[in-house]
This record gives sequence, C-alpha cells and structure tokens, in this order.
Amino acid sequence: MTSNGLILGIETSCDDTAVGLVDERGQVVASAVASQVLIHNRYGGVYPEVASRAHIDKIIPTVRMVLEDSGINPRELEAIGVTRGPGLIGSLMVGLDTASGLAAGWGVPIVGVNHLRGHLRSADLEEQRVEFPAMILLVSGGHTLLARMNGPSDIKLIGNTLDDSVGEAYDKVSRMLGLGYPGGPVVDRMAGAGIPHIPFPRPVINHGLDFSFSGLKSAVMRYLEAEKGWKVEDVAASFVAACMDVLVAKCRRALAAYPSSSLVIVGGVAASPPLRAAAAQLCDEAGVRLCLPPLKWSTDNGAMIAMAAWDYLATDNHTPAAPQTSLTIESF
Amino acid sequence: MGLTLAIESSSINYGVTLDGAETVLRRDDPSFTSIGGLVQTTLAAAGHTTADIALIAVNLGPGNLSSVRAGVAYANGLAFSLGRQVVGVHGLRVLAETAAPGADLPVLCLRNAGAGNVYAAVYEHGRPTLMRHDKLSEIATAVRAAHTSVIVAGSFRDQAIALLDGVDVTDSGVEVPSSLATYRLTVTPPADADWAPADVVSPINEQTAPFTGEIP
Ligand SMILES: [Zn+2]
Repeated sequence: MTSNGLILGIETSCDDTAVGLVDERGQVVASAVASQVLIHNRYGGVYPEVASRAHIDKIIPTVRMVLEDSGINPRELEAIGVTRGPGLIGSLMVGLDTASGLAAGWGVPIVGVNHLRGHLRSADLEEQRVEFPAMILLVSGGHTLLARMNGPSDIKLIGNTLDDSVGEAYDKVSRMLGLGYPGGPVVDRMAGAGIPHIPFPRPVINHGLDFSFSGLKSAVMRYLEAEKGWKVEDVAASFVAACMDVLVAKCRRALAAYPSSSLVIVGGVAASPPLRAAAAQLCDEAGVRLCLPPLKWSTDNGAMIAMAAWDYLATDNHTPAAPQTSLTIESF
Repeated sequence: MGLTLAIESSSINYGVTLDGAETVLRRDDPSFTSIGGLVQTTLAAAGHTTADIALIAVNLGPGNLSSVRAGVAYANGLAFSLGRQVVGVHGLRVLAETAAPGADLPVLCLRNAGAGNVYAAVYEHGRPTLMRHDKLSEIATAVRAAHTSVIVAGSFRDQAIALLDGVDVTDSGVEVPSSLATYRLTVTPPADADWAPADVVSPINEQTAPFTGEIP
C-alpha cells in the first residue's frame, strides 16, 4: 500500500500515548493508544512527572505498531501532526521532540496541532457525521466548553468552564466516595443504582454559556462531612443529576442562541450514559441531529490529531512544534 | 562510513557533536529553537544530511529533568526514523569524561537534583565506586571515608570542596557535561563500558536503577 495522502498524528498531552494514521477524508488507516491509567491509578490522578516518563518509554513502540499495522512507507507521509498544547509541559515535550526526530529522519514536514481542534474534528473520523453549522460540547477530564463550528477550520468559542472541568469534578467526587481513578465510569455506574434526592447546587445554570463545577464539588464534600448514613449510590446519583442538568441547560441555551444543524458531543465524558440519554432527549425536542462519535475517537487519540492536521495544511497554517501549556480552541 | 551524532541536553548548554566536531548553544540564546533545530543546523553547516548518520549517542541524565527528556526523545525518534541505533550514556559518566578524561585520581561528579539533594558518583579509572542521590553533606562524608584525594566536577563544587575537609581536592572547573565526551565514550568505549547501541533508551533519575540499585 502506498502512503500517499496520509498524516501521522501523535498525541501526548496528558496520560495517553496515542498515534494514528489518517487520510484526507478522515479514514483511519491505523490507530494505537498506550494507556497509563494503571500507572496513575496508584496516585489517584495524573502525576505529570510519571506521565512524561511513561510517554518516553511508550511512544516509539506505539509509532512502530501503527506503521507495522498499516504497512506504509513513512517517508511518503504528507506530514506528522503532533499535539503542541494545551497540556502538561513535560508530556507535550516528549511528543514534540520525538516527532521532530521522526520528521528529520523521514524528511517529512511537522505540524504542531491544537489538541482541542483535534477533539472537535474527531467527530468526522471514519465517516462524515457533522452537519454544519454545528454546536460542539467538549467534555473531558481537561476541558468543558461549547464551541460553534461553521466549517472544519471555522471555530468560535462560546462557553467555557470558569474553574474545574466536569471530568475533574467526577474524579474528585469519585475520590471523596472512595471509588478510585478514573472517576467517570464508576461514578456513573453507582449513580445508576441510586436515587438523586440530595439537592446539590447547579452552578450558573440560569444564565450564560459558561460552566462552573468547583462549587458543586465543594457542596458534595460539605454534604459528606455534615451528614451521616448517606448511601454512595444516592450521592453519586445526585451529583450526576446536577452535572447533567447544567450540561443540558447550557446546550439548550446555546442551540437557542445559535441555531445549529447538529449537536456534537466529544471528550471522555461523552461516554457517560446519562449524558447520552439527556442529549438525545434535548436534540429530539430541538429538532437537531445528535452526533455522538464512537468512544474510541472521543477520548484522547492520535487519529484526531492527524485529522485536525489536515486542516492546518489546507489553510496553510504552519504552527511551530513548540509546547504551549494553554491554548484556546480558536488558536491553530 | 557513516557519522556518529552525539547529543547533549542535560544543562543549559545544549551541544551536538558530529564526527568529532562540537557545536554548543545555550538554551537561552535567541537563535536556539530546539535540539532538533540545533542538529539540523550542525548537519547543514558540515554539508551533511540525517541520512549520513550511522549512530546516535545521547546523555541520559541525571541533569535538568525536562531538557534531558527532550534530548532523549529526539534521539529515539531520529534513530527510529533512520533505522539506526542509539547509545545512551549515564550523565555522570559523561561529566567525568568531560572534566578529567583518563584521570588517575578518583573523579567526584555532582549534579543538582533539587530539593537540597545531589546526584553524585565517584569514578575511578572510568568505573563507578559510589553512586548516590542524597544530601551533599552525606556524599562528602562518604567521599572523606574512602579517599584522600579527588577531582571534583559539576554543580556545587565550592560547597563540596568546603565539606571535603582533609581530602586533597582538585577543582576541575567543569560545571556541565559536553556532547564531545558522550561522542568519545561512544566511538571509543572503554572495555568495561556498560552502554551499548539499542533501539530506544530511557532517561536516568533517582527512581532508576543506577540510584536505587547496588554498584556493580
Ligand atoms: Zn483531550
């Protein structure tokens, strides 16, 4: 097979070492993710020092696996797309410097990619799902934001978290309840068996498109300290209900302010069954197409970085392959 | 015959040695972009391309944690893409070679480990007889007990000399390792070298074998 028209995407912004190979139409030729979840379990969260070291050990074997799976000649790649931020500085550097070495040896260009643009473009991996103009809800351990997309490269940030991301709130509540890391799946599972009778706050639910989750997290902590005899399942269910009410209310308000053809939900929290159910109901009411890409593309992966890198080539955006710990979704 | 490329990124003085000729650039120099950029300009100035590289050598640290990683990540990536191998050399061994190659006296090599600690090694004829991650005062006590004269290289030399009361100390004047030393240790390794070409290499810090295990 010839590798004409392929970009190799490399993602190391947080705790997954991920590599993907994607063509211009978003077809994924190969993809591999080396997860560090088992390593970070011990610390109850991502420990930056350990993450960066694990990336060094895993990145070349992961690249090798993707190349062997695809059988391509890497010297024929259109480019290497590599996450330049936002993320953990040490982790970003490992990806960027490795990519720089690969690019030098293969003689191919390197493109520094905004991780958030990768998440937004992940929805069109393998098939064209997004109908423009689109409303995007990005919900993950690192981010909670609403963005308006008029086209692949035409992105406007319309709502962001003022403090914690929803994924962070899940992880912290999970720790308070003694449920371990990562918090998302286990808190959702517990919530499914509980009754949401505790009236936790719904921060900034009644105005604007920005989010806030730190007050909700603190309210859960105060409740656990003050009350006796609470059930883990009921606390989880009440916390999840508060999160869902806020996420859905913001999406409803965003769709009203910016009429859209589709609502796209990406990021690790898109795996949440209650979020998927609530979003389906909202889209039914609003007459908007709901777009939930497969979960493997919703969590951090290399294919989404390659997918976004195509937009950089198309718009002639030659961003430097230098690490940026913070980047807004509107930057390339 | 192909070239050997040696990379040094464990301190603010980034260095590249290509075929025995060294280029050094401080990380805070306005013309510095990345270790990859320095390798490319060094290759271009010598009229070479990456295809001419047969072997890559890199300082594995300890040293500045994130810049060591940058050098190691780049070296691994370049080696993989060229289908070549990479040699990783212990950063304190590189420092000993930089400061006092072929010295008869023991060489005490020190690098700042942060939090009041140092990485320390004593090399005698190229072999480590002490390897510790500890307070400088603890290192000085161990050196005083074992040696009557040493050469000192690396960080905190003045403090070390003050603590090495009763030991005949020579200050090497060398603060950081050089890529030229890594190059020499790779091209003409001593018979008992514990480094060898590999597909990928990993950085060394206080959690890795040289500082947690016993001296061989
Ligand atoms: Zn992400």
